[in-house]
Amino acid sequence: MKTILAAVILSLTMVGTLFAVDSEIELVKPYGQDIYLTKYAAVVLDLKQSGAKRVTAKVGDGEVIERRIPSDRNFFCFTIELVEGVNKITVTVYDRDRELFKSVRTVYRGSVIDKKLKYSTKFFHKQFFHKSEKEKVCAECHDMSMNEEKGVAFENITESNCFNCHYPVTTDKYLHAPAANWLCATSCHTGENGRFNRKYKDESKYLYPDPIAPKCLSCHKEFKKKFYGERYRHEPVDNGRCNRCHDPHGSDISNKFLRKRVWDLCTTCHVDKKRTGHVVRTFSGKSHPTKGVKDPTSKTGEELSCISCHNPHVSNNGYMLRDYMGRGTMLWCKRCHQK
Amino acid sequence: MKIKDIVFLTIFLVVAGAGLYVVTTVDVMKKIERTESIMKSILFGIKEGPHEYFPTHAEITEEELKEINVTKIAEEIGKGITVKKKEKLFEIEQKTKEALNITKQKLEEEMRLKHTKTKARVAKLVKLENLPQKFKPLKKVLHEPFKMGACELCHVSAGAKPGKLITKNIEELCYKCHKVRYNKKYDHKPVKQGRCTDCHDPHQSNLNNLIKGKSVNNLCLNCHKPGNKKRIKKIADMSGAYKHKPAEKSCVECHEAHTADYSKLLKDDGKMNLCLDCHSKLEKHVDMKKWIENVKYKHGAITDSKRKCLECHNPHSTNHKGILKKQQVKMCLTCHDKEVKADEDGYMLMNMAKHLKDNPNWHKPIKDVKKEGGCAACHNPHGSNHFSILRRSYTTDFYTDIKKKGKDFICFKCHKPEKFTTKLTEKVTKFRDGEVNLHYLHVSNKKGRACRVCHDEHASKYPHLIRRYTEFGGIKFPMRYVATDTGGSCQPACHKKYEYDRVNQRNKFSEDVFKK
Repeated sequence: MKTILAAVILSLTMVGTLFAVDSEIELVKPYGQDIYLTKYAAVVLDLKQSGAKRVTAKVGDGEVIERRIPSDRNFFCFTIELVEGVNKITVTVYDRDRELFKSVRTVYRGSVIDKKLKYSTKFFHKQFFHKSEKEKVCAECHDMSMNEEKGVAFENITESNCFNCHYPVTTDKYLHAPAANWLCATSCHTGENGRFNRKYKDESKYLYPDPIAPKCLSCHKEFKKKFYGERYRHEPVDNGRCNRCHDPHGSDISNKFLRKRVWDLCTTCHVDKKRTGHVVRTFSGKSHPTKGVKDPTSKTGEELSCISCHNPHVSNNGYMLRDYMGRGTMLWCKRCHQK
Repeated sequence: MKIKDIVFLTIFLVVAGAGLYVVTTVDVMKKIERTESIMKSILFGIKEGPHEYFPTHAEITEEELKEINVTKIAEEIGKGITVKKKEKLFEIEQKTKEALNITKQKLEEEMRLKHTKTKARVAKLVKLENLPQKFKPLKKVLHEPFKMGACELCHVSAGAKPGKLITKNIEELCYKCHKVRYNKKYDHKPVKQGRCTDCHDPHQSNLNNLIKGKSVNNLCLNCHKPGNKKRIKKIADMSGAYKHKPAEKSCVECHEAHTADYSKLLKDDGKMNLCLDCHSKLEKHVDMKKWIENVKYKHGAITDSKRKCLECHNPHSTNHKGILKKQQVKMCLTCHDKEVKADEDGYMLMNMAKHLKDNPNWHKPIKDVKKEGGCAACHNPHGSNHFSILRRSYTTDFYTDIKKKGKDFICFKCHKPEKFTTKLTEKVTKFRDGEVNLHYLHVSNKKGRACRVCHDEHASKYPHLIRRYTEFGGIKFPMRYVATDTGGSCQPACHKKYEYDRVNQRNKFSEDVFKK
């Protein structure tokens, strides 16, 4: 009898598993093998009424993030933080203690400025979500339409349809006004493409043009004259890629929305300045300081950095030096060295 | 002598001196004479009583009639008369001759008809003393024929009804002598219908031009006041508190009495030219003609409207300052109740009526029109050299250096500049965190924000006229202002949510705050 019973149960479970193929949990996002440029990534699970109770996510060897899934949910979304470089994301779904589903996806978080991280291996490629076919998945819960009025900001930013998913973007200390007010699609993410991202044309509804400068200069009009009136231009300025140094959404570090502190930011590209002495070097090996000293020209007493002497955007002087003092660089040194 | 006596003596001397002074300065005799004459006239009035009509009893034979030499009389009267008057008198003389002839003929006709009473009455010139009591005492201005006693010019002195007019058509009578027939574009209705005697007294009057009534205005308003009996539609209300001075003086300052080339019987184009004739010469006022022509920004109500000056002003009188038709703000809103195209740059001006209706907190000049001056407190309705026809300069920019450019802002006409220049304060402004003047922090440095960045100049939903949206880079950002009893909070696009409190300081300020 026991054997018969066991056989019946076994066969039933076999049949059950056959039918259950259709209702298996699915990890919708991240797609895997894709490139992120932002810190945050969304994890979307299609639960298909499996009765899952909790979910954990782990990025590489980092901390395990655990979220409770409310009952009667078909889909569940949450955000995870990525580290720069390759990220191995492990998502596990549990019904109390029993593991229902486990999936591993690898994504790449690139950097806009760091040359090491700028280019990934061919394994990864850019994938866009905001296409009308792909958006259908989320449309069950989220309003996927764009509800911004051109030129008028939301009185209450949570009204924005972007806010629901992208809210971590505006958690920084200093925020750029269009980002803080969630005027995404009307100010920058217009779906247009620029000279540098022509290959992504029509890939996404909310693509931003690269170079972004025309968008920036449409508001920051005072730079429009300035940038193209002087003799020398910094390469990113010349290319119109303001977003290489400035984070257009906001920054924790400076009110100019710089991606790093000034000295760190400059030396990510100008790596040689890190090691060798700058300007002149005495016989003892000491050179002109580039940080860690008080800036003598600053009225508010800020720390000396690259921008104390150099203009990061444009200049009429050689070496992109700041305001012109007369002929020759030696005279220029008089700015600080008055005796 | 005691001191008491000395005091009395001095007082007596002073009183006596004063008395003497009065006697020497005032002519007592003249005063007595005047009172006498006044008394006499009063007594005369009481004795004679109200005048009655007496028909002329001029009994004269035909022989006597022949003896009367009209020219002789005229000469007697007209000793020392100018040439022009002589001509006039000659004319009248001729007319009287004709008239006498006519009456003679009539008499003869009546004689033929054997009318009984006709015998007695024969025409002649009447001396002033012999005029009927009705015309006494004589008034200041006398009609020339009346003065000469040439009643026959107009009246029949003989016949069944002596005193009757020669013809019923008054027009015919007047135009006999006053040959200038008025034939311009527009006629005064009485002129058109030949009712000269509606306004003019044919015999005598206290006013020039033999005008009836107490004064010219009185005469005109008899017909032209609102609610008149004749139901004349063209009315002039002079009962308002603010009156146009020429209108108060006399209607004929602007209007012609008889006929004119411009409508409303005006002397010139009444929409603007007539007004500017005076308003370019007045001493205490601005030369409005030059102002309107030369000003940089013009008001459409003057340049583009149909009725020009009269679009806003009433030429007679109203109860509103500046003889405006309505209360000043309401006056402006009659046009600005829709989006109006600005002359300056073709930009559409906002619908102010709707804006004021939607936003209950109004700027004080708009709220308290009588005291603060309404829209005209800031805008000059006759045009200005500053944009938006503002009386002083202002800015459309986001950033303004208040120390250089902002000095002559229109705002500082009323608001004290100390509000923005003191760093620590407990009195000058309410917008402060503890003692730190937040107005100063917002406004004073190279990138100081203009007033309009945060405040709406007209009306707002929020207290302190804080705007709903502030515009930067073509985007409207909500201010998200919340007021509390002792402070408030603000979260525009410029910065994250900041709170301020006048009593308990909310933010920590470093020492360099004022250095920037």
